[in-house]
Amino acid sequence: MRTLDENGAPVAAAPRAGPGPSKLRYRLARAWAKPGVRGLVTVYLPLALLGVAGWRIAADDAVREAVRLRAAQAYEGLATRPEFTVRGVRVEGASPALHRHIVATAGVEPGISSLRLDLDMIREQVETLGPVASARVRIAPDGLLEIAVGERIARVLWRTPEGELALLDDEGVRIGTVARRAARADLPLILGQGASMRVAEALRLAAAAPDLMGRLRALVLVGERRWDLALGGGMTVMLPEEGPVPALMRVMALHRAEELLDRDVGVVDMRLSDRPALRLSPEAIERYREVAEGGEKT
Amino acid sequence: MNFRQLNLYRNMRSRLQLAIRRGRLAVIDLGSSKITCLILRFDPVRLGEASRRDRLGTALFGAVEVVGARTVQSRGIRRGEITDMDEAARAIRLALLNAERAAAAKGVERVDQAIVSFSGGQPQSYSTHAEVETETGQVTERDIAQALAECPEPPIGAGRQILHCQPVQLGVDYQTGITDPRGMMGRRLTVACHVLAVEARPLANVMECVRQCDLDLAGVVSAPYAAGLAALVEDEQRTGAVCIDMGGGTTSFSIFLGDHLVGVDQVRYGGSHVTSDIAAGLMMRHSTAERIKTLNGGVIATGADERELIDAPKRGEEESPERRQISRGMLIGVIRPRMDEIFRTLQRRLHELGAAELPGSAIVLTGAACQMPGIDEMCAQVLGRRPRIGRPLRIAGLPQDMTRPDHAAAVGLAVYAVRPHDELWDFEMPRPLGARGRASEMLRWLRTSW
Repeated sequence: MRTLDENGAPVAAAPRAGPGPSKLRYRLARAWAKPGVRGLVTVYLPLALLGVAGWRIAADDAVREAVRLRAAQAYEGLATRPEFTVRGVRVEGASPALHRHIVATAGVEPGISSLRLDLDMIREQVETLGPVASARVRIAPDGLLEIAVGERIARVLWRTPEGELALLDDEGVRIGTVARRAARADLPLILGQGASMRVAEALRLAAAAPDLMGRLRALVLVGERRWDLALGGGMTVMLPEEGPVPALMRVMALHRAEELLDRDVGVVDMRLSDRPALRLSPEAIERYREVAEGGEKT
Repeated sequence: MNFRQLNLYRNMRSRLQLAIRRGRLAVIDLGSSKITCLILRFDPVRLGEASRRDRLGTALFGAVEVVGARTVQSRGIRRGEITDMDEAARAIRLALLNAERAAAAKGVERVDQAIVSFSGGQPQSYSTHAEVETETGQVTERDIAQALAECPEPPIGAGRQILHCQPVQLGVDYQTGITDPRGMMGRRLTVACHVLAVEARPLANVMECVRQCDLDLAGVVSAPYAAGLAALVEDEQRTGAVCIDMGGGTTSFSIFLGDHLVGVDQVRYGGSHVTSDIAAGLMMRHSTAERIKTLNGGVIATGADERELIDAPKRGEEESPERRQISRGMLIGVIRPRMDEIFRTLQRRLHELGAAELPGSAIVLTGAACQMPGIDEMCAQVLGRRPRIGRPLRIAGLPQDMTRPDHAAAVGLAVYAVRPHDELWDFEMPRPLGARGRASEMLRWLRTSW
């Protein structure tokens, strides 16, 4: 049956188009074949859209506020989880007195979230304590804040220019003070300006004369240059600036052979190594004179 | 001859140069029964090297590769001329898009320039020649252009247009057959030109159709010429040969001599007319007729053919249980008169063009219809020479099913793209040398020399 138009005339049926792309599809397909167009549509256009959308959202204050609030809530929820709670402080490698000190310095209240702790800051604060040589701070798996410290060991007492008695370790770092000498009678006492800088030297000298430890009153740095050993009974061993240890060894050798230091000697002067000198104590001189004169008399 | 009317072709040449620089070009063979599109990829470096090394250009084919190929059924084209612009453009788009899709896999994204073939428009060959005195006693490009300009315009008739215009023979003084006379000493320069003219309007329709596919036209080539370029071997082109392109809508031939095209003519019958004869004569559907022709067709009947029966249902009886059967002899009896008519017309046309006197001219059959059994026998009977079936030249990347004779014209277009013959529009238009002319000539010389 043929279709008729409004006047009744037959309308020629449109010839069926053969296979093949329409002009529009053809143009689109060929435009798509251009690398530039393809890149524009698949990469740059989506990127631009994303950028514009992101900018629009970021520019809205209400959205930004809501995002900030949500983020804070999420953080809060996370931080208060029991997995992140710090239950206490464990200090390792410190004496009981230092233990209290460290806990006070760290200032960690039990129940705080580990996310809020600045471990580096705690470590620095702990390390400012005198007796602490080094510290490692970490959150232990059992929920304790673990502070492992290396404690400084007092090796000498130092009479400071202000008259205090300071405890020093072998590097000369001040650990603390004691009220009386007798409190740490086991430590040698050093005196003199700048003596705290030369603790190691003083310790070597003390080690070189173990026999004298009972009699040694103090190691005195003279003129920031050389050491004197002050022994009990007003006896002094003056050591040279160069090679004090060998000089002390010589004194000790003399002492063992001749019991030099048990005699009534005031000063053993080793400052000139080729010419050691002895000075008698005033009483000895008296007695020497008496003996010498008496001898003449007899 | 007037150079000015050929600016159109000059533009096409510059587009072809652009396409070769970009390294990609489409060639589209617009046939009456099929449209073939090939996407070519050039290697410009190799192309340049090859053209320096080998002026005749056989080494050029290594620099071109087919990266996409597609054949579709032709629509809207009859006898090589557009009859339905939209349908034809649609078919071209289909072929091109599919070929491009195949080419995209090999890295050729899209082509913008295309060379198309043109097989209609009643082509007619003319020859014209001129003789000029050389200006300096040495032949220059200017002299050749001058000689071409002196060639009298052949009477191509109103509403017709030149499609090819090639200098085919150049002679200096009494010498002839010079390939390239530039730089030779001589007083007189003779130029013989082969001019191929076609109807202007069908040609303009083809151009418009290609334009509707968003393609830049890089050349229009006469289909028999393209078929000859692909199907004739070099020796045949040199010593003289006739290439008969037996297409669906038309049967055309091109004559080659001395590496040049010297004549083209056409018979406006082809394979599809044979199909129509079968359909009408044996009362069959057109598609049935086409199938029977392709599978069982032939032109020489033997005794055995009377006993060989073919299913040949009548129109409207394709599905009925008792189908008609005909003998193959009967089929041949329908095909043969038409083929005979085609060859006799061809013989007349060849005679008119003087092809019979060509020295040692071979006959090469190509095109789809030449695959019918016995056609060479018939050709030998009518034209007096035994023909050769010309398969197209092998170029790299050509699909296997395109190496049959029916794709000779498409491959020929690719050959043309790589090595176009010099046409009239490849020469600069000669200017009369007035005072101004001399000055501008001197400037041009300065520009080109330094």
